[in-house]
Amino acid sequence: MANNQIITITDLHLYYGKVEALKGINMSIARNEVTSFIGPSGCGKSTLLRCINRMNDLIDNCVVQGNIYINGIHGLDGNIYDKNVDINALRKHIGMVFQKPNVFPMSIYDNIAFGPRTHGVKKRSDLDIIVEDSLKKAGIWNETKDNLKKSAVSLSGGQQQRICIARALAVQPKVLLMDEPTSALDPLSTATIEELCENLKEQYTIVIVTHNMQQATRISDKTAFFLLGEILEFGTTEQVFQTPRNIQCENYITGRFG
Amino acid sequence: MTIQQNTTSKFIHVRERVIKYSLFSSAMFSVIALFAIVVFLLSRGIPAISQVGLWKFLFGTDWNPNASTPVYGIFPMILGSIYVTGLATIISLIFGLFIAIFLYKFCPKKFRSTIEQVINLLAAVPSIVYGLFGIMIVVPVLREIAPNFVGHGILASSIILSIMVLPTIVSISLSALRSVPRELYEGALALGATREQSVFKVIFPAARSGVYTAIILSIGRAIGETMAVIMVIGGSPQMPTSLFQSIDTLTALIARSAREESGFLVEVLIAVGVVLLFFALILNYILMKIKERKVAHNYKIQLKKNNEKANRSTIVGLTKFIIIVQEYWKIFWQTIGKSIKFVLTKPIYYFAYLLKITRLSLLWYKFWAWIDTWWSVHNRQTIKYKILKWWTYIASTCGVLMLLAILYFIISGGLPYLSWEFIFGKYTLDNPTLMPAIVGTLIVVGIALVIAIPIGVACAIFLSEYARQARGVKYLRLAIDSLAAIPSIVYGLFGFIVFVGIFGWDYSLIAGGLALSIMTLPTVIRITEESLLAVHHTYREASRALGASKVRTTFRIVLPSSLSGIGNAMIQTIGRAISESAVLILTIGMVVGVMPSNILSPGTTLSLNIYYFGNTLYPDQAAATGVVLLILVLILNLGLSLIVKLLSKKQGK
Repeated sequence: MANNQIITITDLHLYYGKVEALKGINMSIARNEVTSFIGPSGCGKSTLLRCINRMNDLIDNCVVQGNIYINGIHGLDGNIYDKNVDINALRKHIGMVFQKPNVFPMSIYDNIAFGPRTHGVKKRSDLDIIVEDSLKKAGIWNETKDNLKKSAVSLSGGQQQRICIARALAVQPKVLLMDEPTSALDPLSTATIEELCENLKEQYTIVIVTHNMQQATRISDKTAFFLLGEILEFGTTEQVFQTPRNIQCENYITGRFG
Repeated sequence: MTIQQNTTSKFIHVRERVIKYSLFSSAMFSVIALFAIVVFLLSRGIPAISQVGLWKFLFGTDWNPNASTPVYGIFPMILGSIYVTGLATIISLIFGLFIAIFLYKFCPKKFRSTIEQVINLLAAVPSIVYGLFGIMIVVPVLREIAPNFVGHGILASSIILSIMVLPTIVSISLSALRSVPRELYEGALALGATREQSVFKVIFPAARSGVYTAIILSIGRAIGETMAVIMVIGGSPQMPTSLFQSIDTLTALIARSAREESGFLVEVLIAVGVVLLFFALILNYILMKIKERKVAHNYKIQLKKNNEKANRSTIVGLTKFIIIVQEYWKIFWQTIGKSIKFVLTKPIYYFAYLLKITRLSLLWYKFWAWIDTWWSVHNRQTIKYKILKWWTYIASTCGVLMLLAILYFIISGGLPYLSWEFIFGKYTLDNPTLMPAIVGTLIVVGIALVIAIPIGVACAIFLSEYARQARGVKYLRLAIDSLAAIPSIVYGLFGFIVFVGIFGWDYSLIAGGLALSIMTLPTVIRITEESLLAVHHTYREASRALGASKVRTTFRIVLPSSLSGIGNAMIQTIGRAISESAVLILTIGMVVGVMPSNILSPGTTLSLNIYYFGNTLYPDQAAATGVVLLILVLILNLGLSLIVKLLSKKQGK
């Protein structure tokens, strides 16, 4: 059982200046499952997500206390907030997809190849394989294979978001963090990306922040409900949505607040 | 296909640090430069001042260094500088603010970009060309008008300077106007205000802090301007008493004398430079305070809210004072305005009434009654703003005509003398050519680029990527802003003291290039940083989330996205280096007739040649050189817009 947990978070506090945004989070995330974070805006979902690959380090006056342990990723096992952790290697293994598609202003090929190149892949043939593979996994190979040299900025929003997923996959992460990846997209693109999550589950561990409760029920195995920087309910999606133990969680799910 | 793991991580770590510290040291360069300028100027200027005596120096009304007992009182020059700057700023405000309003609201769409480009072109015209325009056109015309047949002096300088600072006022006020939320305008319209009323009573007051910035910046520019002034000011150190009288300003005094004199006078001139530096730093301080206050649109409300805090700060006290003056002015104006209306209309009204009583002219009465109703229907406000609106049209037309006039007179004056032989021929006394100047310009511009661009870009990267919130950055920014505020003649003095004097390079191209590179550094930093900050932060996040290091993110993602900004910075540097003459006149020596053989030899540049030709027996050659310079500047501006277009296309937008 313990071996199945890829990420274990213990007593995590986070402060933006003097504001305590996360108030003692304890949770573990299982390998090859989709875990979704739900809750009203400003409750700390995205903040916690960004702790897992230490993206919060980029934000000024943000202080993190507590531990996040990684289990079963070669070279990274242990607390990611230890002093001598190689942050870039951490982020290589724990990829991230953002709320708004943020493709670089370069060609599609260069976008996907940016990550591998960063980590030392130089041979053109290797890169070609990685690019094709990632685009296929992200389900956008057929749309783009004929014009990989085209600027990625010219694609539609849904396509751009899948390019971003492909770009994250190209560095072969073990965990994929998704921060409301479909909130800026139309229903069709959303469906494509949800389908994608289902398929990716076999190889990756996915943590997804979403405001869309149907989406959480459709794609996730486990669900965590956040309120004001705390986790009030965490369990299998089925249990959380059908027999919530926490009254606020029930109110939120049934739409009585939030 | 597998990605290798962590073998290079240590190397990356070291590289990361090395690059961070080299960026930091480039950033520190500007602090050191500012420090050096202040120290060297003070160390030479203070002893001179103490020898003359501070009071005698600042407020002495006699300047006669050649007398048997030399006297060094610079009060006439201080007054000259202040008068010229003040008058120029006022003229330029009367036109510039209204041109900005015109471009903001009243200008037909199809003319807008053209007029904006014309204004930008005015900004790109080298100051020396303005000076040339001054001696070719303005001074002769004023000589005809002047009661004492003297064209040189305050009025001529102010006119030239006001054209020079016009683009500054227009562009800064325009961007301030454009940053006012549209809702304000719509809100005013929804209350039934006319278009003019909304613009003049709502939008314009909301953009006030931008206008203050524009005023301070243009004062700074006007007080520091040397070469345009030196050609039309006349140059006799008398107390200014009339608009038409040969006087002198601080900058012109330095530029004219420092090169030719030696001994104690040079020390005194450096002391004059200290005075200028002091002026510039004070202006910069005021500017900084204005920027800090920029958030609040309404000073009055803000003052009431932070009353306690407000009392502590002197600058707020100043603002308060300004507001009080404004209020009094308003009351004063209202009463005066009313009495004017009374004085103008009532007597006639009564007169008509009298006529009516005498039953002689019912018609008269009817006429004045009609005038009276008309006056109250179209109330004074509406008419006032209608008039202001028409003034915006007139001011803009004047601005455009002014540029056309400058272009026309310079080109028509110079074109006949422009020939292959004049530009590329061998220099002789009978046929002075531009060849030495062209070579000199290229070398000086090259040195300035090679030094200013790498250091400036590195500093900008440090500021935008590494030091957004760090504690000391405030002072770094202060140093850069202060560097930007220092008049070019002070850079010239610095180069003169350090590179020419202490380093022993004598007048040389390298001394000029180095002084110029320090001068253009703040511009490079500002433009590059702006373009770096324009790169959306999601790019940085995405790259970091892929595990790319900070250095890789910066150089592979952020920098390529802001290439157009760096291109812009390069062209601006070239433009300033080509047009600058006040720095160079004190550092490269203005040796017009000899080809420079290496970077240590003295030389000249195109803009210095204009000054030289204009002052000696070659006025036609001066105009011809002006044409060459103008064409170069035009090409550069075209190149700039082309680069921006190409790069934005390449990024797929």
